[in-house]
Amino acid sequence: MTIKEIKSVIEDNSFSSNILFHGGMFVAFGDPPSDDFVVIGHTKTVKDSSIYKEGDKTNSGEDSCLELFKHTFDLCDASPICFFTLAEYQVKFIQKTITSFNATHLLFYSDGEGIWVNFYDVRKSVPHGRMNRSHETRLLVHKLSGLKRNEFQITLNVWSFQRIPSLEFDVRIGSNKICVLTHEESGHMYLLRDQELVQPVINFFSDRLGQEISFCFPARSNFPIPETNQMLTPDFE
Amino acid sequence: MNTIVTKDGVEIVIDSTNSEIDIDDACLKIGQAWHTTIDSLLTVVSLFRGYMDKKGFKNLELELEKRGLMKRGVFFMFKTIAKNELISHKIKHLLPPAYNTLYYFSKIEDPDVLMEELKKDGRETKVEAAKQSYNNYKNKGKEKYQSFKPAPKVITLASLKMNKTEARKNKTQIMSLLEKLEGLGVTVNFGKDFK
Repeated sequence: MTIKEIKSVIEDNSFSSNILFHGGMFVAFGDPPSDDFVVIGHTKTVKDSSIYKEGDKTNSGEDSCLELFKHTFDLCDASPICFFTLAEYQVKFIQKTITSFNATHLLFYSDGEGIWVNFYDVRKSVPHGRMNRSHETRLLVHKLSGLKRNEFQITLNVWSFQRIPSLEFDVRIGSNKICVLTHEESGHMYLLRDQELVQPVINFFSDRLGQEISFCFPARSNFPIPETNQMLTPDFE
Repeated sequence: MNTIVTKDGVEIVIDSTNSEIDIDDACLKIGQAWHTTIDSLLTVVSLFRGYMDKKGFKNLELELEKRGLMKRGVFFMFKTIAKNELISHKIKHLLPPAYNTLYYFSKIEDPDVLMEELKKDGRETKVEAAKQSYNNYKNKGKEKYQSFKPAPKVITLASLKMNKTEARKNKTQIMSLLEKLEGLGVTVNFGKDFK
């Protein structure tokens, strides 16, 4: 029964080649391109401590398992900046939009008007990704909730977000720049680390002009080339 | 003669000489106990609010379960209630004294909708009714998303080039073939030289 459950955990978390079992819980560490992603879940029968690498048990001792578990569990237990709920249909919507919009990153944030998610493709901001002047920098802005929450902003990697099951989640944004999505029934926690990227488009409401204004960074502004005058380059968009 | 029952440190006094219930007295006692229940629940909620912003909250969840004090599911319910700041002593008179009922109400994040739902049956609300209220609220939000259909991804199939004289000569046939392609969902963009 225990081996069956271990196998099932390894199969269910195929994005991870390193899985830790300790104290009735498991931790799956994501491989690239989802190495910013960790899943912490509960086990029914597996109570012993062990680490599995690519499906095989390693000879790690209980102390090292305990230490690694403590370090990982601490990641989801930092003091929170903000809480909110993501409904199942919202998770599905985000995952579908990632595919149709061909996004690489999501920016979750809250302001005086509610909680938002922005979708964008950071590859469009890389100098060698720009092919010609018809190049587009697109940003999709979606309001998740109109309720006011503590202000926060966190950038997530879409490859990791796509690995999350489409379920209702309790979302906790920690002060350690880690977003923890908890599923109520299973108690599984999905941890995603802030990618700390600068969004290529800034959007705001100008009181003076009475309208929404968007500023788009030229691709090079994220990656300045030393010893060049950025203002003199003619290809500002 | 009074019978004194002590349970969980609380003394309950019942007049055993009288075979009939003193309705006023019984209502008063049960009403007081009822109030105490919601007070206890709100005390737990206040404690959760105090701990929620601190480091170690997940660890607290594990420890409460390990010590047999609170199961993970109940912890999650109290956490959800604590997150909804509207659930407080201010509206105590409307709150049902059951944490599972409060849980469903607390999931209604919109304060106006929540107040409206609470006012329907107030503290008499049953868990099924609260669950239904939450489902109705959730479905309203879901409808907006169901109407959203992301634009299908457009792919470039081909670019056609041909001799100008040949193109003019066979224009009718080419146009008819391109029309057939349009019927298959292909968007045809004509070049500026092909008119």
